[in-house]
Amino acid sequence: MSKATLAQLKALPIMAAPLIESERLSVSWCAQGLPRGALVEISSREGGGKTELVLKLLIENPELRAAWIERDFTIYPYAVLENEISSERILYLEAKKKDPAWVAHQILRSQLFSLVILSHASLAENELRRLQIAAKKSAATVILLATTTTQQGHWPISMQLEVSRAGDGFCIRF
Amino acid sequence: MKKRIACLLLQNSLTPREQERLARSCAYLSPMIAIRPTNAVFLEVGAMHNLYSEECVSQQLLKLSRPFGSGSVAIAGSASRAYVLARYPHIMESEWPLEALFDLAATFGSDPELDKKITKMIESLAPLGIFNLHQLNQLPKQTLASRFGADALELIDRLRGTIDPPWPAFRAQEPISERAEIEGIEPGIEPLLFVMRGVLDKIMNRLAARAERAAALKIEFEMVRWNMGQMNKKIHGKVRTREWLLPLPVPQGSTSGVLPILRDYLARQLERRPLEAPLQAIRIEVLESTPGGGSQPHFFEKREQESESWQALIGRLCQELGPENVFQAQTQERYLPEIAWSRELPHALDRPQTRNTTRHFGRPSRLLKEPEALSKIGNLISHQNGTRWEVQEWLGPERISNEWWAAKETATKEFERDYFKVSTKSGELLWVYLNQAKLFLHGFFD
Repeated sequence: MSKATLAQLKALPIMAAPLIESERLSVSWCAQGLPRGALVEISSREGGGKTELVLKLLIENPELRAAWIERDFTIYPYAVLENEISSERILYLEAKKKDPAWVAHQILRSQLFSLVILSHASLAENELRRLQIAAKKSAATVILLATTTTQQGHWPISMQLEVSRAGDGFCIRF
Repeated sequence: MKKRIACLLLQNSLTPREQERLARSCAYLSPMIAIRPTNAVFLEVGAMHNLYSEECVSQQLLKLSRPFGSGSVAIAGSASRAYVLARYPHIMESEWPLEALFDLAATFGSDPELDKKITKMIESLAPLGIFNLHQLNQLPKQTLASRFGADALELIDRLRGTIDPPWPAFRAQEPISERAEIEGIEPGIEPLLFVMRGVLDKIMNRLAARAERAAALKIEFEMVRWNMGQMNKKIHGKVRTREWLLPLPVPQGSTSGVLPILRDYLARQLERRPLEAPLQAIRIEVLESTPGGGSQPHFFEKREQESESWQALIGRLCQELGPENVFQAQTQERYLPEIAWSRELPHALDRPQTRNTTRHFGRPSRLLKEPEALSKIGNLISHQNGTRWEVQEWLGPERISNEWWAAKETATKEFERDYFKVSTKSGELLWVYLNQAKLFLHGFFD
């Protein structure tokens, strides 16, 4: 029997095993919940609704403390506060001077945050893998917000969601 | 024993650290010292008349003040009178101006509320023909009380030297500084940090005993005298040193919090300019400290540990990203979307969560740094970068216009914007506004 190459293994579809309660973050827009200690990618076009989904997650899980990392800041904290998400729950980090992945590692290492949101940070495969290991160690969910879905080197990402608006709601493709 | 107070008033403003140094150097004259923030030091000198004459004390104080700029010394029976004497050294006591009331009131620190009352008092005294303190002192006390209240009475008593404000005693604390000798250390940052960890542990223990955290550190490397011409030969003489002042954006109370900051900072500094010679000692001094939690770690709760980790994390991130880029958000009572929120240095971890009192609903989750111009042709709106959207629906408008009450104070330009939520056929929701018939993209409901 021939051995599978690394590329073949990476190309295998990820068989999502059902998560137990302690391993997931409950959220109304995703029946199976978001996995803890893993990377989750949410992508949509600008104005497609990905940020609003994250805000819903924060509203539905009031015990979550989050770090929001962006290189060039476009998140509008006013809208976050408007959703009655307390200002003490979110630490904003504008990583102009430093690599956003480095900032994410510091956050994960501190084990103080159960949610890390990396917005518009294009990461290479090995960086994603490092982040996945750090997320697993700290049992935190790392959400990657992007305008396009990562196609190549996506295997460290446990869940990829593609969001688009449909009327008043959202259409989410896994 | 007759009470005599000496006041050393400096022309320049001093930093708290400089003032502490000056007060510390005055301690050999008298143990009873008080400080007026930024510019004056007071000493009780009545008890030492057998040791030094008042002239001698004045000379000594002037000598001590020289490194900090010029100053004047006055000695009187009360601190308030000594301060006014030092403020007006060339004016006869009988001609002290009414403005000296501010100095009488603010001997050990100013009070803006009292200053307002004194301003009103001076304004109302001028029409009565009272222009100096001597004339004011002639007035019967009862009339002052009925006209200007209890504060005026207290000021007159201070002028007469019958009462003095409470003495804010200065207590000099021993500076926290630790030194470690090094012999034959390997080059590189890690061996250095290994030594520094021990030094920092001692410093942090001393700070913890005082229930304080380090806010600024001085790191000093002592190098052996090294002759590059004759390698491996030490030369006797003055030791060369390199020192760095490291202000910590968030005060730190643990070695694990400071060490990563030191690692990054020193690595950068030594990369830029390596050490010229081998090290023989490292000294770390706490330049500034702030009150910190002095509690013992709880055996079953992680709160203290988490709080320490929080301080360490915020400190390190502030050091690397800049303090302005590590923040929590707070709303502001402003209409202009760009300034409707502000950045705040992160609060302590155990602060209770606040409820937000935002009033405007339906703001986008993404806001562009600057509004970007759009052009509209029929049902199509297009961006300068070539992106086009086919409009499905315009929702609005919501008019946001000039904050006329704040425009003058904050120099905000006048504005009048009609905001629309624009849903596109491709599924985006944009936030655009119309200003003087021009269309701008300002954000996304992302």
